[in-house]
Amino acid sequence: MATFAAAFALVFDPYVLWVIFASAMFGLFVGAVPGLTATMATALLVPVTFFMPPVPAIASIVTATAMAIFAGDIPSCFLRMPGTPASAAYTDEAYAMTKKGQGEVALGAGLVFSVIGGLFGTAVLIVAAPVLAEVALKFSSFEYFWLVLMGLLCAVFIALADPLKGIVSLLGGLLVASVGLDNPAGFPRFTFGNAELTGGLTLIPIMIGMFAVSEILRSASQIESPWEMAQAKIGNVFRGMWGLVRRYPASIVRGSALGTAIGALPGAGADIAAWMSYAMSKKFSREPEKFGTGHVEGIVESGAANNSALAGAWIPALVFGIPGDSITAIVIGVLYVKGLNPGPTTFIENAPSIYAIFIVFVLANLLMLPLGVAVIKCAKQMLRVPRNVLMPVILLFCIVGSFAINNSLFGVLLMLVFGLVAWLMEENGFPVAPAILGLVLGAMLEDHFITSMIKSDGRLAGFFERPIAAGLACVTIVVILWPLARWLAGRRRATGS
Amino acid sequence: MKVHDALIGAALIVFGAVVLWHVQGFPPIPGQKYGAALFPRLVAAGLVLCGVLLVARGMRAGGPWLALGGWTGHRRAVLAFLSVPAGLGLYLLLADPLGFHLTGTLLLLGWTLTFGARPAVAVSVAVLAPIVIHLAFYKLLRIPLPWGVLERVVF
Repeated sequence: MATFAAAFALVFDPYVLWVIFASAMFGLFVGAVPGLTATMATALLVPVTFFMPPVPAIASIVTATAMAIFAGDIPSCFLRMPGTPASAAYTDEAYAMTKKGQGEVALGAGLVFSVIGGLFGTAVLIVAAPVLAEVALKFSSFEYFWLVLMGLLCAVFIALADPLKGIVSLLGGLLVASVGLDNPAGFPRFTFGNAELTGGLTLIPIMIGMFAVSEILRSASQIESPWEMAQAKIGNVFRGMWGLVRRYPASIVRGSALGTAIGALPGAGADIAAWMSYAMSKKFSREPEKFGTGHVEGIVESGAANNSALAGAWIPALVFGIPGDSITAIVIGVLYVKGLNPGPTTFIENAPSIYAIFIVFVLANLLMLPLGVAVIKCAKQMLRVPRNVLMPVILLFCIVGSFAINNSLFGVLLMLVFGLVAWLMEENGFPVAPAILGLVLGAMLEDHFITSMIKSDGRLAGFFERPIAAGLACVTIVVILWPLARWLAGRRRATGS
Repeated sequence: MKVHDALIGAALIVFGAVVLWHVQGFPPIPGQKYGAALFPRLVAAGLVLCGVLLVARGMRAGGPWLALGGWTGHRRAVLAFLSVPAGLGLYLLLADPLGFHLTGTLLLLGWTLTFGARPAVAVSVAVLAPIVIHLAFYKLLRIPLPWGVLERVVF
């Protein structure tokens, strides 16, 4: 109880509340403008959070991302363009509703069920994380090795259509992570005598490059065409929402639960959660024929799913230091800098800060209701901000952000190089998320791997001797065999028919 | 810009092989069998394997070796695209001698104009944005943005 009181005191501090409010506005804006994503918002926030105490730093990221994922629904209704990839699954649906004169319902459902999903995911986070942390206290290097490997492979084999390209991306990330002195032997690898490389490549400039610069490059290459706005009269967005809650209770629970689970799965975040639960909603619906014609059911379910995924992603991030999505991949870096090193012991050593993060999650989701209504009201003005001014200004922010981490121009160079690399990767169907995971988890994977190899004296059987390690190993193997099984099933179906 | 999978695969094979050759020189941890080389060696071997698979798959799939996107035919889009790396490169060269404020103004002016903003808007953004960033990052967050030639004027 004393911990909770301390956590409350940490959050309900005027400075922290001010940070939360400012980050909320920032997140709503970034989310509502197509081409700017929630991950980009996080990457751009990090240089600013560098100069804050731990709780407001984390609070700003939590709030901004929650707002951004909801705000991504707004341009879906007006422009038929998702504000963030997490809204892409139901963009056509929302736009069709606006065309039918139901834009108000679509926006209201996006808002209300985002809040419900977000609170659901937060509840699971609050309950599950400390319990998992208890279990994780017993883990040795063998368990951690399997856990990290399983996380990385999940990101590639389960979440992606083309696992081969995902593996390449992952291996690339792991290789970049091995640059520098930070390895079990303490030997400077791949540094070529360059002092900047000795400490390893700094994560944040790379993230800004891969998530912001690459996005700006893509936006620059699209031939400028002015956005065409659908006309919609938006009155009280809460009208009819209670009816929807009573009509689709199963959808709400299913979407929130699936979203939390997908979020907790490393590598898959809010966007995949939304796609999967939209498909799930259609499958279980009593009126699947209405999907795609401006039917609210799918928006209810996947709108809840993408916001619950955000909170779900924090479960493995806080307990094991394994990010659940690309946002928490960045967050983990921030946690280390702030002395809140993720892992089971953080729930004991930094209990007030961890509980403060939980409180911020609840607060951010509740704050979404009033701020969301305000943003919906002025969405039309916001969407008029010209891209040809916005993108250059963001680019200048990126420069300052990547410079600020080490006060070195090398950060700007890193940002440029990785921005171009990420753009080329996406153009050629190589997903960026596995590379980021590899980059974040590379050192951890190697550390536990080498430690385990030394402990077991090179016997691979040693990796299977402890019960939990053996269990995790089995799951890992199933994950690897998953695409093979899917491929075989596809072949059998093809030859059978 | 889409490069054929087989070409990417071949590049991965070469790259992985170079890494494999390079890590041979890494020393082990004293008294242990394993050291700095094992992990990058496994990763590089994985890259070579993926390269082989990509080549095999790419050869079966066919298609052009290099497909430029439709946007490369539009001069405006190409200019806008190239202006991003070019501007960032210029920043790397000019930030120290010219300083953040002047370089930032020049870059914003260049970028907004190539992205197609009206000249009046471009000029006002180019002048105002670096001032806002200065107030937020230099004054508030105390990041030592380089002054460059302005140093003598300000101090």
